Formats: sequence, C-alpha cells, structure tokens
Amino acid sequence: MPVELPAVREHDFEAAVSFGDVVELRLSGSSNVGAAVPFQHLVDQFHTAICDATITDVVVDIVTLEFMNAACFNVFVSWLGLITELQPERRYRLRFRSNANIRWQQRSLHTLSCFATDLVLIGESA
Amino acid sequence: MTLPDNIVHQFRTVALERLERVEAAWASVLTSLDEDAIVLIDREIHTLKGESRMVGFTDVNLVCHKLEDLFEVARACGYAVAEDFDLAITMALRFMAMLVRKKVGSQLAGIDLPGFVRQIEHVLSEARGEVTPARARNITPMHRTAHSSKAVSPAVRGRLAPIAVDMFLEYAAARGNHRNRLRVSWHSLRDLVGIHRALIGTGQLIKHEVGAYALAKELGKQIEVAIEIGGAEVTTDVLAALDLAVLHLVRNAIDHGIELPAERAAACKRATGKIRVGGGAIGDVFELVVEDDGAGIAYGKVRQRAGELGLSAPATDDDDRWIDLLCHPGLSTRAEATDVSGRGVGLDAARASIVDVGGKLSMTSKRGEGTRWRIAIPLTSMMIEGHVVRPPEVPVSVFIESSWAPTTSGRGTSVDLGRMLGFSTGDHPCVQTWFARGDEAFGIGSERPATPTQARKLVVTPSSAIAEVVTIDGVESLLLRPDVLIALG
Repeated sequence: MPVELPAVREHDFEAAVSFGDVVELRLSGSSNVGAAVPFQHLVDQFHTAICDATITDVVVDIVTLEFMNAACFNVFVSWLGLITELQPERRYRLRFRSNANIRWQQRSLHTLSCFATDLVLIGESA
Repeated sequence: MTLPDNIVHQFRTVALERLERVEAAWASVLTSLDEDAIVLIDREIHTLKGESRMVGFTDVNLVCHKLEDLFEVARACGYAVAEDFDLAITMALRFMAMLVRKKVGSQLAGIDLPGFVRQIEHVLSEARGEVTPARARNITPMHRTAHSSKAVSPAVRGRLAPIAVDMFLEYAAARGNHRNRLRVSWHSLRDLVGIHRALIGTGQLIKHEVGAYALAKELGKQIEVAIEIGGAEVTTDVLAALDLAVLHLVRNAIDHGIELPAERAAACKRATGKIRVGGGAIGDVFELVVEDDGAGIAYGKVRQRAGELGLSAPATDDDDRWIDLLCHPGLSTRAEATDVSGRGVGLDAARASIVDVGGKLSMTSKRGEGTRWRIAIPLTSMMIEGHVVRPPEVPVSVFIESSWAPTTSGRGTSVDLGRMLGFSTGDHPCVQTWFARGDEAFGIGSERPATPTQARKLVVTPSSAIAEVVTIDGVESLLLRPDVLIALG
C-alpha cells in the first residue's frame, strides 16, 4: 500500500503513520489544543487509505505519548465512529499499544473501549 | 409502547444539536469561565435527560444523569478541573451522541454501557475525593471545601516559582523517559505554586445552605439562608479561602448569632433567623458579606473570656479592633467545646484563609440586631497582552509583554536565547525580531514573525527573574523579561 501521509508535528507532539508489515499510527510527546485539527485530518486520511486496502488491524502505538488533551483524544472517538459506519466485513480493529506506567492512558483507553468493545484492543508495552 | 418513527427521528435530531451545543459550551467554560455557557449546559442536559426518558432512550437518560453529576463536581470546584476530568466530560458527550444515533431497538453491539458508567463513576469518586478533603475526617457536608488548600505560603511560593520555571524548561527540552520523570516534577511544582483559575458564584457556595439548615436543626434553631454571589473569575486559592471563610462564618452565625426561637420571640423578633451571604466583584476587589439578624456579639462575655486567658480587650466598641480578639486562636465564649463549636478555631481559620490570599476580614455588630462580616480580596488580573515569538532551539513559545513593542530598528541587544538557556545550538532558519521599550531595544531570533496575542499567568515570578510560565491558548509558554536579560548582558 504505497501511501505516504505527512506526520503531524505540533511542539513536541508527533503523530506519524506507517504502512509496513504492520499498519501503524505512532504518537509521541504531549498534545495540546493546537494539535487537534491536524491530528483529526491525519486520521481521516489514514482511515481513507486503510479503507482502500484489506486491513483487519491497525496498531496505535502510544507508548511514548505522555499526555493527550480531550480535543485530541476525541479524535479516537470520531475514528471509531468512522469504522462503525463501514460494512461489518470492512471494519478494522484498533490495537492500542500503551504504556502501563502512564496512568491516564489506561483509564482513557478503557473508557474508549466502551464505545466499541469489538474494535478496541488494549495491550501494554512497558 | 413504541413511539412513531417521526417522534424518534425528531428526538435524535434535537438531541444531537443539544449535545453539540453542550460540547461547545463546555469548551467555552474551560477557556473563559463563561457563565452563560454554564447556564446553557445545565439547561440542555437537564432537558435532554427528560426528553430521553420520554422517548425511551434509557441509556441516554442514564449517561445524562452521570453527566449532571460530573458538572456538579466541576461547579463545586469553580470549573478548575483536571485534564482527565475534562476528558471524561467530553467522552460522555460523545458516548451519548453514539447512543442517540444507534438504531431504535438495536442491541448495544460493541457498546459497553455499564463499563462506561463505571469509568465515569470512578472519575467522579476520585474528583469528589479531591474537592472534599474534609470527608476523610467524617464530618458533615457543610465542612466541604471547594478546593484543597495548597498550604504553601506566599513567601515559599515566591521562592519556589523560579525553580518551577527552571523545571519547566528542563521538562520542555527533555526527551524519552527522562522527560516523563521531569513532567511529573514540573506538574507537581506547577500545581503547588501555579495560579489556577476558578469561577466563584452562587453555584460554588450554595452547598453551605444544606449544612446550615442541618446545623440549625441540630441546635433547635430556625433559620432562612439566602446565598447570592455574583460570578467572578478568581484563583483557586481565593475560591478555597472564601469557601472556608463562608463555612466558618455561617456556622458561627448559627451557633453564636441566631437565638433559639423562644429567645427571639422574647426579643420581639420572628422565630426564624435570617442569614445572608452575598457579594461579587466590585472593581478590582471581590467583596463577600455574611450577615445575620441574631443577638450580635456579646462584647461583655468576650471581654471576660479574654481576661481569663490573659488577653487584653479593646476598651472601646470599635468593631475593627475587636477582630483580632475574636479571631484569636483558642478564644471562645463557650465554657465547654462541643462538636459544633467552643474550640475557638473557626473565626481564626476564616481570617487566616482570607489573609493568606491578601484579603481583609472586617466586622460590625450590634447587640440584639445581628452581626455583619465583610471580606474584601483584591482580584488578580490573569491576562497579559503581548506578542509571541518562536525562537529556534528553544522548545517552547516565548511571550513578550506589550510594554515592549515590535520595531524594525535593528539596534539594541541581540539575545541568543537558546544558547543562554543552555539548549543545543545549530543553524536554524529564523528572522531577527526586534522589540523596543523607551530607549531600550532587544532582538531575538524567531521562526515566525512576532504575533500579537494574550497570555494567561501560570507561574508568577518576581520582576527580577528572567522568565515566568504563562499559557497561550492553553499551551504552556515562557514569558521573557527583556530588561532583565539586557541587564545580565
């Protein structure tokens, strides 16, 4: 899937996608209000690219994501909304790779999983 | 009973519009403590709760109820909520939108409503713990304080503030696990010495009504309590101080001021005593009054008790001179301490909290007619006008106050901020941006031209310090004092 999407960089927040063996969205740093719009844009484009391929799982690596404000985190909610609008056979799962040492991640991801328990998988990497 | 499709369709449309309005209003509350937005949120959520019940969306009704609880906690702490609390509210709104959109009668496939409610309850329980530190001591709701007191004196805060600024810069420049550790340290210091704003108004102090009625009942007294406070933006310290002062002054009014019904009748008064808590911002001062129509201060008794304790009482009835004595730790006219009063700590605590935030407590009292306590606290302006620049190699935006105006002169002291603050240097493209104030001028490299903006104070340092921390659109940034930099050469 030869798609290249420009990474989002806002202060120390970085969001970058990769389409290798694993289709991945990697987030790092600490997001602020200004990052929400470009991050939403990136996820929209990412979703479109994923829909053009046959993908069942997308890894969302937030191991080095220190903090995400509400505006940015809601992009995940919107993303789940986009996935649930797809035909069931075209839906893909979000496999979150999180950091067990960062408390907000665990709580927020569990809350997020309540939106679509079948589409959100949470794993820890630290 | 199944409702007609058009009714359900209409509910969905209206509900989603309500949720959009609430989400926008919540953002407005967090950024500007907008009182109209607060009213809108209460109204919309309450209406949605009723409508959802009517059309059989019980899941929406349940989340509405939880959301009301979240907003109640937010109100109690003057909307000075933590970031994860904000996230819980916005996610609850999005969760409801999803529930509203789902097909009628469809299963909650993939949606974990009980799990979501548990998460919200967890957030609520943690937040309630934070806003009610007194709860651990198992005392009545009237003892609740709106925000935990930081217990850091202004002097200590003044000494810690420059350290906090250094910590902020270290954190901003760090990477990896090192940055994680520094983030915790920076946030701890920020929470300790930073300015956190909150809204004070009737909504934040109304809780004292419940405690007041409970206490009056316990003491066999009849009261009417009226609390009406004009909304104002204050610091969380001021909110906590006023909350504590109102708690003690109202308790004092009930216990010592308002007489028993029979005593009031004998004095030709209504059996029900009146307590009024009122106030608001007047110019750059926040004023709050707690007054009652009780017995007034028994100066004779106080004088006698002061004598017993070896304290000198004012010779005249000059009310202000009595404040020191009335607020003296340990002074009480009660012979024995009860669970309500008698230890002589209430007024002392009330005054100490007010003085700690730079305020003043004064009092007038007339025997047989009542007592009036007045609190005056100077309001701190939290917004600063100026320009923002983005020096290369410095990991945060830099704010210059408006007393320094951008200029094209190109003459003056040029500052390499990255080098000065010890950050790595390199050849980054930037333009030299010049500022002038009177005869002084200085230049600073910036990736972007200087942009006029407003900053909000966060960690305030003395004017002799090079920098302090502010926020610009919610982003932590560095306020730079060019005059100090120039003086340092």
